[in-house]
Amino acid sequence: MLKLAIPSVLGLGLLIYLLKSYSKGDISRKEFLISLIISITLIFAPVEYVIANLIAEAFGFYYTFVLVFFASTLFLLSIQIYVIRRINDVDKRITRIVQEISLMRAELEERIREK
Amino acid sequence: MMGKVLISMVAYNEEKTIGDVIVRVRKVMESINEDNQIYYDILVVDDGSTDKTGEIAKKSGAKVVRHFINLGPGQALKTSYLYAIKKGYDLVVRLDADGQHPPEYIPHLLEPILRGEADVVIGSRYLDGSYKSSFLRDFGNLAHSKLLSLISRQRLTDITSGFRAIKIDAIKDIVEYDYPSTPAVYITLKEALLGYKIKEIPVKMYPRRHGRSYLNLRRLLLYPFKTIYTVVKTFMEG
Repeated sequence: MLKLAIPSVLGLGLLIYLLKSYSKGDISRKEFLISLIISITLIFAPVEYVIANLIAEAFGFYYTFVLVFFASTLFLLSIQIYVIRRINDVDKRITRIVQEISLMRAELEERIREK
Repeated sequence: MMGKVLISMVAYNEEKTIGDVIVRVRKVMESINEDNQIYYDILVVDDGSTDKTGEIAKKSGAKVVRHFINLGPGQALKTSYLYAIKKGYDLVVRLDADGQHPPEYIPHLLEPILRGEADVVIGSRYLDGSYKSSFLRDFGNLAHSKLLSLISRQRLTDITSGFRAIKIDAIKDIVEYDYPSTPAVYITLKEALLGYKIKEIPVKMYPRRHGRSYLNLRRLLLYPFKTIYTVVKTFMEG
């Protein structure tokens, strides 16, 4: 029974840390919400164990841990896709900023030379 | 009437050749501009060079736009297009800064556009059949060109050639897209799908005399996959 409480304690710790960080403005709302889902999942882990067994059975997974592993992999994959898209987006913005600054600087130099 | 022509070059660490290329370009432009009907400028996009490329280009009389970090050939090309649009040029001629593209062919690139026969004119190494590179490179180019000719329904023999003249209207239609790492292929295909007339003229190209090519073995092997990605991307964009 004590072992089952470990994830709940970790989840509770994570939740407190998240609330503190969010109130200080250290993390964005999106990051807060994603982490909140993780902490709630951990807090209710002992109950989820029973639910997970039922879901695993319903989906035809012989072992519950296979379902957990599968779900975790999917979750990590979605996080990875999200991060890649964000990096790509930032990369495009930086590229455009560099181009615009370069063009503006060239324009400025030309005008100075003309004067 | 030709209007305003921008001769643009993308350069990355080309201090040994850039000055000579600019002088040759000016000589050619002056020879065809005896009656002063053409207003032309030479632009060098210095893509974050660590040598004196930008300074030499400026001293040689070219206009210089300098990226303070290296963005790659596709994005540097896009900067030159943005410059042409902002400054109101009618035509852009693009050539390599390493001396591989002889500026003496610039009048031949301009002619079909001035006669209204084409919107984009590409200088092709393979059109007269005399150019030979490594087997892998020639085969790759042939395969790409056949595939893209089929898709674009226009006869193309040198899809990867960066030596080209292009009307500003055709540039305006493609400038806001996100260019992949194979910009020549992407732009040609995009122009063809948008219905612009593409014409090729035979040109001679020379091996680079200084510096290193962008295409090393790793990039050369990845090139077919990048082209496939470019084709798929172009179609998905519509």
